[in-house]
Amino acid sequence: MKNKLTQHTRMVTLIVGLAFLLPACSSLSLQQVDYGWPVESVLNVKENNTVSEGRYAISFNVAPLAEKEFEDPNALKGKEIRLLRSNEGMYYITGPNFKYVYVMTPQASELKLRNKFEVSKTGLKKPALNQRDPYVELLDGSDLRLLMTSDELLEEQDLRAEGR
Amino acid sequence: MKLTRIVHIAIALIAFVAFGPAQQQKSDFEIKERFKTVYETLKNDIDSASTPEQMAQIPNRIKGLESEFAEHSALLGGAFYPKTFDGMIGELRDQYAMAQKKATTIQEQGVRIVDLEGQLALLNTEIEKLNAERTELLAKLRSVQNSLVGQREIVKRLNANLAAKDRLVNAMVDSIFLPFGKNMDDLSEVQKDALGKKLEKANILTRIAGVAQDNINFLSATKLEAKDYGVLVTQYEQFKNRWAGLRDKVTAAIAASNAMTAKAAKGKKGAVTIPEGENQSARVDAALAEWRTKLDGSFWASLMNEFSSRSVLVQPFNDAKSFSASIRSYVESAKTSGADPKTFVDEIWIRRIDKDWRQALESESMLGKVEYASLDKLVSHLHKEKFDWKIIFYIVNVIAVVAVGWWFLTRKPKTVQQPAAAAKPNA
Repeated sequence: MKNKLTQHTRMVTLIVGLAFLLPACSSLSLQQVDYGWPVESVLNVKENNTVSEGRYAISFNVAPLAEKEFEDPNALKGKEIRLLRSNEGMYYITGPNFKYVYVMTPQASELKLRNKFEVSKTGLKKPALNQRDPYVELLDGSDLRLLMTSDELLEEQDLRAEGR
Repeated sequence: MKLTRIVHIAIALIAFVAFGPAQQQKSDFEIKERFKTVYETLKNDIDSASTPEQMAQIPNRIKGLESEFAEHSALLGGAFYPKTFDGMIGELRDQYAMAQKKATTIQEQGVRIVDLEGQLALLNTEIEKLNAERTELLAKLRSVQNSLVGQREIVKRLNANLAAKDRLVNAMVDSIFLPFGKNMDDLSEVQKDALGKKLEKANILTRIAGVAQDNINFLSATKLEAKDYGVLVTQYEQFKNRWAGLRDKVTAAIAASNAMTAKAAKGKKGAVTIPEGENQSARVDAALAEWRTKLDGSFWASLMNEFSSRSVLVQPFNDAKSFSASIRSYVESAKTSGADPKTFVDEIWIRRIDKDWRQALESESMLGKVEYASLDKLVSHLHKEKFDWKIIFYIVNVIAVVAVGWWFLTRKPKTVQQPAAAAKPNA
């Protein structure tokens, strides 16, 4: 009886011990990371459909983006796109004639679509992305101004309509 | 969820208010680009400001840039990292201070420049005189009517003429460069342009090429003697070294001047003739190379003649390397064959080469001092190995003369007292 009790106690101790130890071993997390770029980058799309940003050392192929936005993988060749990394680390991509702003999550050797915001029915004319912590601001000349997070789009008129 | 949305809206509203209606429609990228454009323009304007009026405007423009973009200093600091906004404005002020210092120096040198301009005009006249004299002397030299003595006199005068012209062109170059300092990198584009224009106006590159060309003509028209080559080789080396130090400076100044001319011509209609500094420099290079070829050809052929005219058979040579090999080979064969090297050693090496050719041969562009000393040592060994019995004859003669002289001076007179004693009874 006493043996059984001891065995039971050992088992419980082992399980409780593992419950504390395993999470500690599995990950190390550093907090308060700021990925934000101070200013957007305006990048020209090369003949091979790629863009590269020298200062932050990132390059990628935009053919899938062109396909999604213009239904033509080569539609962006020779054009410019505007790229800004938010403080939380998401990449915001848009450009002239875009109807959407794309929010991309960086992953191993890829940028994965996290969200896309429809910002214009006819396409942006002169878009610009600004860092406005904790938001990313989208301007289109003097016609449009809105704020975004990776999950949400906040339009100025919405805020005013709410009586703010 | 609703609470989160309310918090977001509140933050967004604060953000809208914080950035204000006046700033709402500004792209950070545009701010950065505008700052960059204004900054670069200002930098260039500081560099190219040449009048006191232009210089006086700069501090206000820096101040204007600073106040216009001060509210974006954090943004610009991030955009131009590792530079900061304050650092960039400080750089502009430093650049302005340096430009002002240079402008002051140039103003101070103004009087000196006027003097130098006068000196330049004088040098120009002198050079033209020398050119006329050179033409006359070359014509005389080519005519066959002169005696050998007369030819030598003309060669001497012509050589002096060329050396004087070289000195004057050199003085002219110094007069042009002096007001601008030694370091071309310190000069602004405007200063380089001014320097380039002065060099072009004074035809410096043509004149330098002319000095080389005169020497080529001189070598073609003259039959030189061994002693002449020492001076000619030295002149060639000095010219070559001076040109090496000058080439890049002159080319850079003329290129800057061409660039400014092209820039100014952009807005104007009609074709503009742009002087080609690089081509002119290449022309000097070509003339220098031809000078060297002529000098080498004449020099080694004359030296070869020293051997052939005395029927001493050495391997033919046409440069320092083959000359050295030829002498070494001759000495080696003389040692093994036992042939009498008297003519080679006494008449050629000692009386001609060591006496008249040595200066030219020892110059670095010919044989060099080390190699000459090595050959001289080799030949002197050959000399010692062949003992000359005449020396013994001379020594014996000298000893005999000394002995006779000594005997004559130290011998005692024998018959001096007897005649005196014999004379007494008659008194």
